[in-house]
Amino acid sequence: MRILISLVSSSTSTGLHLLSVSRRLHTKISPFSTLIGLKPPPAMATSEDSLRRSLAEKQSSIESQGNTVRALKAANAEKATVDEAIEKLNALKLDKSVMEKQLQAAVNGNGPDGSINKEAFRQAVVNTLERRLFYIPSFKIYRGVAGLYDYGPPGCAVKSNVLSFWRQHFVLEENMLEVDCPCVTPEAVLKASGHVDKFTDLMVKDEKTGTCYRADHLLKDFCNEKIQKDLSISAEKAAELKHVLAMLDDLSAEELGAKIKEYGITAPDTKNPLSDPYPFNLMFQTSIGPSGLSPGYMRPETAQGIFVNFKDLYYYNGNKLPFAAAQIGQAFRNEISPRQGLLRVREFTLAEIEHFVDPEYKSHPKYSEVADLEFLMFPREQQISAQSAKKIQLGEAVSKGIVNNETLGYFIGRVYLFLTRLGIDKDRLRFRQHLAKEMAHYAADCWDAEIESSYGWIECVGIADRSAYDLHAHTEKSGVPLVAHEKFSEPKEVEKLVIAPVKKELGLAFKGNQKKVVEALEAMNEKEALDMKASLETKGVVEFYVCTLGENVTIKKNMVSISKEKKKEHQRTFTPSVIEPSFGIGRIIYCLYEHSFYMRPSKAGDEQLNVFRFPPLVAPIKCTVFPLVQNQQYENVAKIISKSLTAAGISHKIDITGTSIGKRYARTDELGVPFAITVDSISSVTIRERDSKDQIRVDVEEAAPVMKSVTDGHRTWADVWGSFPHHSSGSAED
Amino acid sequence: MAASEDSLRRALVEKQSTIESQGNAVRALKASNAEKKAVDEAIEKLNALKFEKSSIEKQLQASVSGNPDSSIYRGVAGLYDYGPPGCAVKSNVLAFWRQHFVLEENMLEVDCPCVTPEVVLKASGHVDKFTDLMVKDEKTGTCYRADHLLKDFCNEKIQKDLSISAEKAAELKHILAVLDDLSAEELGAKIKEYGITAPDTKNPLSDPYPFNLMFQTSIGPSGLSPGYMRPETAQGIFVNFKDLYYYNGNKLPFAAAQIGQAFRNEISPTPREQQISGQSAKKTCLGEAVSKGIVNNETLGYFIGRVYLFLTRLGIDKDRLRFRQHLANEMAHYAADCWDAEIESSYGWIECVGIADRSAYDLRAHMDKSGVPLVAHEKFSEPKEVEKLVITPVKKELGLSFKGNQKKVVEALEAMNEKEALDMKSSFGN
Repeated sequence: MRILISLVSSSTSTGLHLLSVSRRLHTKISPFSTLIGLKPPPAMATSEDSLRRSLAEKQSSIESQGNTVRALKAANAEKATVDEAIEKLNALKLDKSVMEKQLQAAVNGNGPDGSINKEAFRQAVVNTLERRLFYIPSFKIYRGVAGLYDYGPPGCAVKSNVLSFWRQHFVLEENMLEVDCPCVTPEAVLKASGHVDKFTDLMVKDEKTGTCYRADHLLKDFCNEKIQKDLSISAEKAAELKHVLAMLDDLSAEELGAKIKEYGITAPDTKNPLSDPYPFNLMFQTSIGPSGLSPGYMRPETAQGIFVNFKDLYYYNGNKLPFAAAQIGQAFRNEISPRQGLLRVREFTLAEIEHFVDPEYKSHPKYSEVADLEFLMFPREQQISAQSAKKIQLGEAVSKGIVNNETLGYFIGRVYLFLTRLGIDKDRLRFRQHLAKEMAHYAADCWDAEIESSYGWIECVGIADRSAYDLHAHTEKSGVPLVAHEKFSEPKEVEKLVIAPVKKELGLAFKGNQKKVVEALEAMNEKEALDMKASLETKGVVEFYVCTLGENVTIKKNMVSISKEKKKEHQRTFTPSVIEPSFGIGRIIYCLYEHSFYMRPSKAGDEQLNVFRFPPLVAPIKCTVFPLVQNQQYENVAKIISKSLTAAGISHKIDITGTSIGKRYARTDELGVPFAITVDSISSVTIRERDSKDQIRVDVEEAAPVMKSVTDGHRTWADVWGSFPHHSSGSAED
Repeated sequence: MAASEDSLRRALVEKQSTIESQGNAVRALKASNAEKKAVDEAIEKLNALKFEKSSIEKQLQASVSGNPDSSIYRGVAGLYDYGPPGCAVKSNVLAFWRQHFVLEENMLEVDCPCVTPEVVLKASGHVDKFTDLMVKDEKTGTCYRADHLLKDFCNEKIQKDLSISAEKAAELKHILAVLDDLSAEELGAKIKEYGITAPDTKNPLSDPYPFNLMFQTSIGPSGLSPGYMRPETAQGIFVNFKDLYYYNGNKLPFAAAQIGQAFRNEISPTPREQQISGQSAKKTCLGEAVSKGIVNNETLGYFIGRVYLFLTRLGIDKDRLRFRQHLANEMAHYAADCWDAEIESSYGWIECVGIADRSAYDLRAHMDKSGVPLVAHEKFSEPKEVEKLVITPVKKELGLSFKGNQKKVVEALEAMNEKEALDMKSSFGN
């Protein structure tokens, strides 16, 4: 299985075929924004291209040779000549079939059965996960609902371990302000954020049955199918289809509709004609209260709950910047037709951080702690020039301006540490910068942490510098200023325009309209005011349009005084920028399952056993306690150890069934339990490590403390391996 | 919260305009060189108004600073955010819950979605029965809970109207006691009888009608799959019973647990106080309660005890915590026994934990609806001999007699219950 894994990891990126997300969102939306397809490496493309060309040539030679044979036969040519011609034809056909195989291999990306291996690997992981109840399709007894999954006991424990580590690694470490807001959100909030108008996918309907499909999915499937299965298409056609795939996320409703018509794409299930594409909002809609007059939605992200609380949180933080708020919670997305199992679901757990910062000071005090990290980064440049991700030192990326600022860089580094400590393979993790066209216009810079899985590169964490957009949007819609202040250590002198209407004169002149005239005068911008000042000084009067009155009034010199004055300012008021790391917890966990899974032969060599190599931090159960054989004394010792493990807060499982020790190990390896304590005497026990299968011997009283230190991470297995006598299992394993 | 804030704001605006007009009055008096006494009186009145204004402002301030959700958009009644310390408290309480229950008892924890398809909540009875009775202001359409209006009316009368007769007072108290048991018709009749009108407008009210308290939504784009935001997390566990039983090695007893959000689309959110009068709770030893049969069984008693430990270790005052048994009319017909842990707060005794022996109701309901048997097996150490009815249709003969209808006849024969079958058998005998 290791070979299998390496095959998967060495495969070319199939990002293209995956995850195209809701791309309509040119305002932010979702941590999982667009994942632009990656062009295949040029070498591959060329060979595929030339193969298609030679295949077409070969096909035409076969046809002409076939004609030759028929002509010879019709002309009753000599048998030897005919045979010769037929032989040549057969040789050509053989060439063609070799070429077809090569082409098939080329389009599959990594050898003839690369994609099959990927599928098989995924199937092995998913079967194990489902059998051991890591997850369960929700409402299974009612035949389930697409895109909804339950976490069963081990899955639930993994999730809870991941979340508590997240809280430790981010919230506690950075003193973030954690909040917890409701999922039900009134329309006004999501109108301001842009979700009501723009959080949509394009949908087409089967015109007869009404079944709905995602328009881009159908087009994508069609193109992929053609490229991979139809070896007869021309190189030009293949290039065109590939271009469509690359552009998929940028196509408008009209363009998508036109392509669907052009290619004659029909409903996959019925072959009925399809409607034109139209936008479908991906939020679950509901109604708040009984009146039916307060529309609400299940939140599509948790971030908005933080933005609307900015003022209170800023105050809570002593009116100081920078600070970060964080939230863990459910988010919802009413997918049109969910695919990709646990990666694309209708309800998921998000963990989001909003780090508020003065736009003029985006440095970070702890930046130096991550600046030396080196990992796979995939900047815009490399993507455009069709290169692949490469190892870059974070500090270098920031100082060269590849990463926009220190704070953004700091979070990229922290996310890298978070994911790798969970057990994500660092060679299958990359940080991909958004292309300019992927980013919302207001965003300063965005990076996605992408993890490679059997589905390709999956966007699992989005790290975006969203500038002041969100706070601006809510300030405008709510009328509540969401701003911060910088107090100057000493007042600054600034020149300010002062417009002072003389109310007495204005009152005499305009009576009831005085107030409106005053307001209009005060609302002039600097240029208007200075123009008026100049006119008044030269002419003494000026015509002035008051929009609230809808007419011009005559302003005289004695009615207003306009001047520029030096004023002392004590503070600066500004809207903070926000840097947002947003984590799709379910996706991270799924990728972690794939990265942790491997198979190894049983001791007898007759079967393949599944193992999850979870680090103790993540493992759903930290250790098991087995009496070696069914025996009252051993059982008593097992119970004593179990009690001390409970007291130490270590989740464990005690198994006193008489099943063979080897089988019991195999069962728990499949749950990713890192350690097994086996009671084989009343004074001492063995501890077995899952991946090496190495065993040490410790006294009964030491079992729980040793477990505590290795599961807490105070000691590694190597440490304890070095300090206790080793035990060789002999026949115990089977 | 939103409503009170709204009315405070209105009151403040009114007060402000009164202050302005009183200010004008004072100025006018001064301008007309009125008597000093008249001027002073007018100024005093102005000052009193200003004082009232400042008190409204304080109330408004207090109402706004409660951090109701989306407060910059003036909030939504019944939705609150937890700020940083609140969030930390919640997370500590949940961690202790997990430690105290899940880890301690090796419970199987699960995590199911909030979005739930209709069929599940149809089976559980929520689609048909999870309702409150609502009345509408017939002119503005504003909705109220019918029982709240009646309760407020009765409380108001009893507490404020000192002129009502003792009989009348007793009648009102009786209504308060049976409030939860009144049908829609009875509630409507009482509202008519007492002439209760909409509190804000005094407009007449509609008849009470049921309003389902689940947030409804639609799953997927078709509009053909109604769904609800779950009103409780329990259903997610019931529908997984089969897998969980298997995971537990097909052994009973075992417990499954779930922590998660639940939703209830309240008509007009206000905290509910228990309306139980009569004798007060008394200290009882749990073991005694179980052995005397006050608590139905040991397992129920065990959980009551564990809940007591959980709450008191969190810091709940044990003298303001009581376990109240459900009255017979409060319980569903299938329930064996129910106890609520009630905690006394400034709102009265509040139901905080419910501990119910629900018998086999939920599993049966999902079994009926889904057709999947949600059952357990007990293996006998040695086989037991039992008498069983065996109905064996002789297909050959039936086929000859009934031809195409044979299958239906066979099914009908096999579906007979014991009495029918034995009656048939004895008829043959004659």
